[in-house]
Amino acid sequence: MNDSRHRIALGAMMLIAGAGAAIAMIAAGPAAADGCLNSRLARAPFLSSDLDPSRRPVKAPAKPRVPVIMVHGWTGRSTHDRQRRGAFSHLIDMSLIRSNQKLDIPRSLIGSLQLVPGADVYTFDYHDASARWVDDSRIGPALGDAIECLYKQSGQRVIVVAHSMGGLATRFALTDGNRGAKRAGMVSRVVTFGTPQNGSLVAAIAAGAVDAGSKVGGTIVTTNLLATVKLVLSYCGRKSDSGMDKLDGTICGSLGDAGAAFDSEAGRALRYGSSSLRRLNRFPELVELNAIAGDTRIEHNDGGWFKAPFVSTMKTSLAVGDMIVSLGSATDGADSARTGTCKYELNVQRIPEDEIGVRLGLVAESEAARSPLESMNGPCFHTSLMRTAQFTNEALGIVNEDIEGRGSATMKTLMNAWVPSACGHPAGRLKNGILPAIPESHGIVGFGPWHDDRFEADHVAFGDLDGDGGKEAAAMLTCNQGGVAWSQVFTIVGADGRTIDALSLSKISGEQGRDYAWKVTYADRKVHVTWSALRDSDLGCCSTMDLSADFTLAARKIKVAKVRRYTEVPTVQRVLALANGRKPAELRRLAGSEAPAILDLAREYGPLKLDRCFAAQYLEGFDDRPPSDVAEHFGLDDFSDGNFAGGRYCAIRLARGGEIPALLGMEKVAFAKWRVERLLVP
Amino acid sequence: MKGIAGKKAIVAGAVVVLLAFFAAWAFLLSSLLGDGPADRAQVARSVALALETLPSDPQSRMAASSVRSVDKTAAEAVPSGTKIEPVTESWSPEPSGGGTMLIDVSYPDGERASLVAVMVKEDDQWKVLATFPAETATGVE
Repeated sequence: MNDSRHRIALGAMMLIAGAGAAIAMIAAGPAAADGCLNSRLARAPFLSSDLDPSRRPVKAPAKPRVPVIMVHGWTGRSTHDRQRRGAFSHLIDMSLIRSNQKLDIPRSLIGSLQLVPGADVYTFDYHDASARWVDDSRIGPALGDAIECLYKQSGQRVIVVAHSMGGLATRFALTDGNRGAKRAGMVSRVVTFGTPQNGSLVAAIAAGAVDAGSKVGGTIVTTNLLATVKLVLSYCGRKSDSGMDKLDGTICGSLGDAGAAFDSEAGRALRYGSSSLRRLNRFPELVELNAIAGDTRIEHNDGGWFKAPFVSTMKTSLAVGDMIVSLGSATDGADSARTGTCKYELNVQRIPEDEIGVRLGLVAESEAARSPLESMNGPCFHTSLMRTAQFTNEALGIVNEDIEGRGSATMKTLMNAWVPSACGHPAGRLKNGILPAIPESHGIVGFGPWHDDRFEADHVAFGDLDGDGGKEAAAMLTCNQGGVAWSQVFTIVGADGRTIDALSLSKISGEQGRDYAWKVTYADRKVHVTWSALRDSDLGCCSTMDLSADFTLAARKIKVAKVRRYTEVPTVQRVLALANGRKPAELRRLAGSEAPAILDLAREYGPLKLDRCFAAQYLEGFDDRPPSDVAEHFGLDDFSDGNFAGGRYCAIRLARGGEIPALLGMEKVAFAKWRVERLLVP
Repeated sequence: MKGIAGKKAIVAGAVVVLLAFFAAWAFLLSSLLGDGPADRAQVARSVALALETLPSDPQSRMAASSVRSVDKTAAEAVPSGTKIEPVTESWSPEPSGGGTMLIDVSYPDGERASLVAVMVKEDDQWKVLATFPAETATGVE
């Protein structure tokens, strides 16, 4: 809930403070994506009646760069014009707190989003096809194309704000085959208003597909609930006979022509448990889903069967969600959910013309709003969610936070980043630097000092890798399956906390998969990484291979260049050259106390020449073996020198005085830095 | 002149045929959809009849799910001697095939009630799913 409060505060700040005082703009991205516009996708116009907090018409921000697509619901429209018939175009005039008072917010949700710095607001309208299901080429696939185009043109991941079935159209667009899967990476988040993720109970009841006693979405449908919905359906159906236009934007506007609409392709698909819904894949993990949902509770005291009242358990208030979509369905699978509760008392009335009137009376302190249903458009109702200040503030906060977060990654961003699958653990979002839900003995995945005490000092760098003006984080992701460490994963995380790309260091070294970084530094749009890798014959304690490479980001993919490997060999060759050249002072720096003996060896038997190097701990099964004559002479068959474990021996051929070489014992003292630790002579 | 008159006759004939075709199509469509005013009135009469005759055998007019929802029997809920007067004009169908109708109920103990009956069709018979008291109101609509 803290997140929710934070977002509300942000949303409220946006409403009050206005564009001028809002968060500072980040560097501008590419020019607006006009090439994507078509008969369905339009840039939302700036209406002169949408006013900013200083009551001047909302104007285009200086540098809009993040596409925000508004997608309407079933039988609705998104088009934003002066008629304000679009799902997101009505003025924000409702509140959960004082439902019977009109608010003085002189703009719509679209107008408010146009005030969010960096937001570039588009509408996607499929009204002409909205009786069709989301797989129709004019709905889901067309929305997918729009997302793809806006992403490519702007270079920014798209934000989708969807009402009702618009959320399902988005789900289709992001999950339909390989193309859908690719699109998932082009969308940062989807904000849904009353999207029936599991279908609509009302659609199912309207279709006669649900009887009392059925269990629907975890809720048992009672006779009371069934009768209430049927009562409302029939009432709204009667009102719709007198013309749908009058009912637009009211709850009866959604239900009015229910007989026809619920029997459309979309209406059938929207029923709970429909085969169309079952075929629709769930939102991809990559995309954050923020659900906004109405929670309408209806009570009526005297329902029953003639003189037999309903049993007491059935008299409790009926939870009908936003009247079209249940709360559970609207919030299913969401990463965050913002709900608002509105309580009503239902009254049935006999009006003079011998017709039935249905009124909903709001149950709230000092409020006694009683409206006939066909004029009812309460703040929790399906069609009103985008007019209700608390819900629109939530959406504004989410969008603002997302765009603001695209500036620069911070240490906080990293600690809560989305990370890819690593070390056999699934992808997920870190909490305080750790991937939760991994059982204690099953290993870890994460960033931070809790398992990597050099993290902040050496294993993370911040810099602009993609050239958008903001900083990305380049950090080493540590992971294991419990027990020995696995290779660290070089990870680039964006300002929104999402991993842009990741690459295991062992993929570069090609060694045994336990690579560990020395230092990560950023300069000039490149990250330079130094690290160590365990060779096959290395003990776990002691790596004898060091590497360095430059990492860049191109088209959101990591490119690796200038890979260098460092072993003991250059140092040994330098030692031999100094010995053969009789340079004791310099030799002492590399060979320490063994320098005089090496010089003597060179004088007596030189020049000295490197044969080859091998692991000091000669263990069966490794390729990194000593020459056979050396092994035999020094008894290395079962050699395991505890005092020199982790070092390397190098066989030195003597030009004069013997077939058996001497051995230089080499020890690594720092990154790519070696010295002679011992000399063994025949 | 004769040629022009002949052409007019052909056009007039074509218009008549076209109108007849559209009339037939509209009738057919209306029959198929089954929600024309005539059809609606017929359904309303069936519902009204079911409600009128309910007191003679309340159990047979109780929707299956309602049996579990109340703690009285149908005969207790509608005692013998109860009179139900449906307001046929108030019939409002809902999409699944059910609907609502206003009824005036006189119980044998003298109590009278104005109710809305929520009707469903089970086994091709109209049954009452639930009733809600309908308060008398003015100026609502």
